[in-house]
Amino acid sequence: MTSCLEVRRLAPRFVALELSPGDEREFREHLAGCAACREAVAASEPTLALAWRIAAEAGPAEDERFVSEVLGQIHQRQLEHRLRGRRSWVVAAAAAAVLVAVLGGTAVVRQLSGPPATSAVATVAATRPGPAATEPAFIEVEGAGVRLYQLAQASQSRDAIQVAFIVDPHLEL
Amino acid sequence: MVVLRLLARETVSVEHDDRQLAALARGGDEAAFAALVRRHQAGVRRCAARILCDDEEARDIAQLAFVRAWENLSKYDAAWAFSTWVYRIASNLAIDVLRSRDSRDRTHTAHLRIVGDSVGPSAPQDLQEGEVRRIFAELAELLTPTQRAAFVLREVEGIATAEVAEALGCSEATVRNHVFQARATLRRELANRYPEYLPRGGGR
Repeated sequence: MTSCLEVRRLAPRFVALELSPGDEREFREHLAGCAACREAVAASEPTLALAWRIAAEAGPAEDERFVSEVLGQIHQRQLEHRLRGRRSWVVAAAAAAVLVAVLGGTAVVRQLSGPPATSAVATVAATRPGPAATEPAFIEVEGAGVRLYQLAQASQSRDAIQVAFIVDPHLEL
Repeated sequence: MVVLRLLARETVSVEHDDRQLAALARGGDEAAFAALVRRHQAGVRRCAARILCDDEEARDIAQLAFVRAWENLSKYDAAWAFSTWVYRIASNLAIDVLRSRDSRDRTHTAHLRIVGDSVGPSAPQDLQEGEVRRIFAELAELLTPTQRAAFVLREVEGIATAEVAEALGCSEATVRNHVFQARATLRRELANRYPEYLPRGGGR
């Protein structure tokens, strides 16, 4: 333990922020238990007394709710990030689906956006929309979370294609 | 008696443990990250509250700091304590808040939040709990955001100059400069506004 004499000797260097971390730790440990030395040091730098009084005030207590709120925010941001990725995937898949529907037949839809490693291959069964198509064509895309797209003829216009996005309500987002 | 909260910071073994937890968290281990949040939340919130002089805003900033830490774990340099890194994120967020704050309105709000029905400086020999925070909140408005953060981290929290420099992203010499400038302003304003609170023989 540093003596009072040593503390008084080191005080100017402490005030000048020149003590090594180890010396400063010992210096502060001494001050914590020695009111006379605290007073002597504060006399040379009065703002230290202010800082010590602020430090002496109780801070926030440990709060488990804080931890769960942090994790909740992390999950929320992860979800938002994933949804953003999926939205871009849906747009790309929808564009591909429209093209396939126009051409008709069986086609392979490749994911146009997203990581190449996860590019989805879907078997698509679609028919050219026309007056005879009473049932809308379905395109099922596997492995992308979004389960189903439905292509249907627009009610009034022969040339327009109505695209409905149906997302499985049980889909875990 | 003033009880000093002096560098009662992590021991070496705790720091090692922090780094292990950080490594696990980097691999996606949420439980490990939750343990880090649990361990350091009080310090980060306390530090942010002292920089901002606003407990509620400090809680939000501390939470955001941990969220940013999680999202940037790949950038964490284990040469530094995990706590230093989170202090860095929180300090910079707090400095951003100070820069964007409408100082006059925010100061008024902060005072209301901190001291409630506070009385004036009527007990010069013994600052009451909360009163010192009111005075610091008032005087700190005269400091630049970086001076304020440097003073809190170095003088109030007692964090080593090198760590403060890492936290504020500047050199140790710059940290000292910020602290000295903060001290000079606080010393002058204490003498002008609250001379009764100056230590005996102080106020050079």
